[in-house]
Amino acid sequence: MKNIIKAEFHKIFHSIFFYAMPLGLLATLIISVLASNEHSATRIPNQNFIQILSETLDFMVIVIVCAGIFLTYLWGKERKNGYIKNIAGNVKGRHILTLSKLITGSAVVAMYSFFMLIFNTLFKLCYALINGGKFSFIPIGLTDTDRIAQMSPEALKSLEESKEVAYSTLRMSSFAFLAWILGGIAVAAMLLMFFELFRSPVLGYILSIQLLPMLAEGLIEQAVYLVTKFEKTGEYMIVKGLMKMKTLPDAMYGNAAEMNEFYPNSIGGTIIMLCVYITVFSLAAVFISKRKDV
Amino acid sequence: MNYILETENLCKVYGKKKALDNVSIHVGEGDVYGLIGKNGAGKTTLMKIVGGLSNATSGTYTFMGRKAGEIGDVITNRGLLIEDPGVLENETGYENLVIKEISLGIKDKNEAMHLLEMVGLKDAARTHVKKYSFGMRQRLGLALAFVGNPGFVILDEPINGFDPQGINSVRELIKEKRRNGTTFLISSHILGELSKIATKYGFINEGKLLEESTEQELIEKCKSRIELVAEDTPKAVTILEAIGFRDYKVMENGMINIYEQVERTGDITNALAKEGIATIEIVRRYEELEDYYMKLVGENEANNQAAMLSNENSGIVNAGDRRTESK
Repeated sequence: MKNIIKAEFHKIFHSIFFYAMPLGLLATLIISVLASNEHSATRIPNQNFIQILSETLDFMVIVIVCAGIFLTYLWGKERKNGYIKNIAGNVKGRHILTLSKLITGSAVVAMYSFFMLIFNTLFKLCYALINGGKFSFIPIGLTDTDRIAQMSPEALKSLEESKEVAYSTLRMSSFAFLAWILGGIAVAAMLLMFFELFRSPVLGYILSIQLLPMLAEGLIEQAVYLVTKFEKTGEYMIVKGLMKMKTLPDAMYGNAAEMNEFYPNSIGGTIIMLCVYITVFSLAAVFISKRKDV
Repeated sequence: MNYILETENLCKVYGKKKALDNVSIHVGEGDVYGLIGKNGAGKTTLMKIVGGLSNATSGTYTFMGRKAGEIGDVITNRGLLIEDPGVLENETGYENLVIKEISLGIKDKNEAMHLLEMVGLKDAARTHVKKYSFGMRQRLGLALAFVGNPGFVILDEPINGFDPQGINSVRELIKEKRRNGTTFLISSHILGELSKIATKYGFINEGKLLEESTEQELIEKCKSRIELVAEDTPKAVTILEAIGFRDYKVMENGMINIYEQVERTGDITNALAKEGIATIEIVRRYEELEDYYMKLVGENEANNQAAMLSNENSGIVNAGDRRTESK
């Protein structure tokens, strides 16, 4: 299996499309900054990593869509030209090919996510330098030791609280980033499952673009409400959970206590649910591939 | 005998169609097993199952002494080219081989180039496959089948798309590999070509294995004859009878076809010469593989039809019986 994974990565890194997708991500990033309001946080000369990480979360849907399109293209191409036959004859079970695809697909999602984060960080760093601003890991001022020394006890207390807010936001944004990556992996696993089922990339493209889970979850939520009148179904949904995370950049300027009470639980629950989704989709893909012919 | 591949009552059903029906073949080590059958006979289905690309509906097979589900590491000792050659269009021929080598854990960097040289694609090694002709793709497919120097190679119509020179080179390649101990399972529509390399044959029709014969058995089974053209046909016939030939036929063009004692060509020419009759042509012919196959398939289909008719008739009788019983 190790060799199959190596071969999969070799194919991925030899595909021009793999490099074209991050360029698309970069273009999206640039366009979004250029199109943003002059007074928005994006245009502030002083930039910090926490803000950037939170802003990156806004682009994660696009990251997943790009990864989904690339993976569907890669898998579909291999199936169409029949190259898979050369490899499938030399593996102990055809499910090994599916598992290898899942692992490399997950790596692609993670790589694209980190590409986006790195692009965003570099972009903001350049923006700060060009506009005479400063770039820091945590919000400007908190690392200024001279200023801290001159502060009154009340101001220091306020500063400590704001530090707490910053670190809390960093922690939550990191978890949210991880949850988005897991969400991307869940989408990749789902695409793989459908691909193994229908042996056609068409559905994969449609799902990647439309992000059908969002629609599917909405339908499930409505159906559950219609039948049971239970209103909180949304709290157990993946996409709904991710949508909550999208409010983090706004929340970081809000009430810290409220954030600490609500979001960590929400993210933790979402991560667990995403792991369940990944497991279910992966097992289904493996089950189908073991039974279907190449 | 130790078989490298042995199938046991393999069945494959697609919906209502039975693509394979209790097929049991036996491929010995070093054999070139020729699988013969018309389109849709079940050759590719059988190859896909033993190549690990498809699951049998029922039945099993043993590969290198291990059951289908327990093949384990010996699986890398199997190369295949089934249906169209599966090649990555946007990669070079060399890169196609390298990817398969990586998947098999082969670290010899010279092997890809050696394989390309073997199939006559060395000059096109760095050319993208999308620029390859059909024949070149087929050659690359062959090279892919030989990655890792497998002991058992499955080739489905390997000479499709080749020119006569290409066919010859593939034949020589298979012969050379066989000399080095490789076993082959090959299907081809060009039976004449297959007969030049195969050491064992499996005749398959409508998913059923009609017959399995070694090369020697097939030669014996194929009805052979002597074709004789003599200066004076009536006299020649008298002489033939005098030296003990009874099973012969005089054709319209004067040629005499003798269907017995085919090894006695020398006796015939000597007897004719003694009587002063010149022999214009004498040749020993064997029934072509294609003729034999057609005859075998014809018999099978006739048997099937007879069986169907018999079933229909018995069905009518049974229905009649039931009617009688109900009364």
